[in-house]
Amino acid sequence: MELAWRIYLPANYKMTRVQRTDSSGSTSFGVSLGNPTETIVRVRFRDNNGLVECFSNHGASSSFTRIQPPIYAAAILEKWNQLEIEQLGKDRLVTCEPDEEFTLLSIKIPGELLESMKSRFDNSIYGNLSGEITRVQFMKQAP
Amino acid sequence: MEPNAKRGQRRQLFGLQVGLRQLLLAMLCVGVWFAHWTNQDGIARLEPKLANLQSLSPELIVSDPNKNAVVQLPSPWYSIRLWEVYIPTDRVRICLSTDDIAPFGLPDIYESVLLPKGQYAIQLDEQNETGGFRFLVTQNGQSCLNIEKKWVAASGGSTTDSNVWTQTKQFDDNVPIVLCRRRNNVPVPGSPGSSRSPSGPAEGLMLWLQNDH
Repeated sequence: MELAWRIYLPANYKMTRVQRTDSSGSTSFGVSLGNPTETIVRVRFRDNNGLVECFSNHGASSSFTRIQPPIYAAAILEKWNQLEIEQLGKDRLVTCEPDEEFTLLSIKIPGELLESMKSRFDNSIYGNLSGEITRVQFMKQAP
Repeated sequence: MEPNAKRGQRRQLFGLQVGLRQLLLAMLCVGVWFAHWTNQDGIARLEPKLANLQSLSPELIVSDPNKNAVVQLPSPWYSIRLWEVYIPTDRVRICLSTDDIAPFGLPDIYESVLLPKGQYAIQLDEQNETGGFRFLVTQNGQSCLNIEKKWVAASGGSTTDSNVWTQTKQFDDNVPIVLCRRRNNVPVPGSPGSSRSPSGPAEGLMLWLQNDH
């Protein structure tokens, strides 16, 4: 699975990809862009023997993670068409205000699907999962 | 009025006497000049956009067909690096080494294969396998070099010196083209878990093209 955007960012923006790891935790990968940039942002998912890997890349920087916990990996592999995938600018050009924080991509498991999938996994571990798998966002930062 | 006198009739324009031919010629000149000016203006506006597009979508442009040419393409995956190359002769080798990699120059120990002349994609894929790494080089999808390396996992980082050519760069055939040079850090004696950049030749990964002597 691959998602891509062509974007223009004024100076001093930071891109962050947040990936949920369990009910309370998350990891994030950030990169600061000092100069105005026109680039292509790509987010790819790949099945590596049942482990789902995520590679995101824009311009000269990139990040790589394995999707955790396994319930999220299973959702991506088996239920991709049922996930809530919000992509900024999917159908048309979107312009954001200069100081506005914006989310380029958000992938979530809908509540009902999450509940139905929990029965296949250890419900005591996944009891409080939010359903958000990953999010890519941009925010203005001080020069 | 006589017909012959009519033919010689001229109009008054800004105090000048001009005939129909001169008038049409002047209009033609203004039209051509205006089209040229519009085109120049359009080119000037599009040039920065074109430069942006070229950096977003690198393309191999061979200006001199007698020289080697390389452009780096966007990585499709974190472990993969990709180049488009043009080789004008049958005398160029692609070389891969994982030992004795110095900050400059070429290592003595390497595996290599002759490349056919032509234009194709070179891909370097680093596969993390149990107990080590496999470095696989392909030419248009066909495997040409394959090295398995049982590295100790505690190498603790590395220094990469990649030549990122997002626009085509051409080289004389006697100049080695270093596509990638990475040197693994070495452990700091007496400080478990710490590592530092190597001072001399080190393990790592180096991929380059050179003329077959």
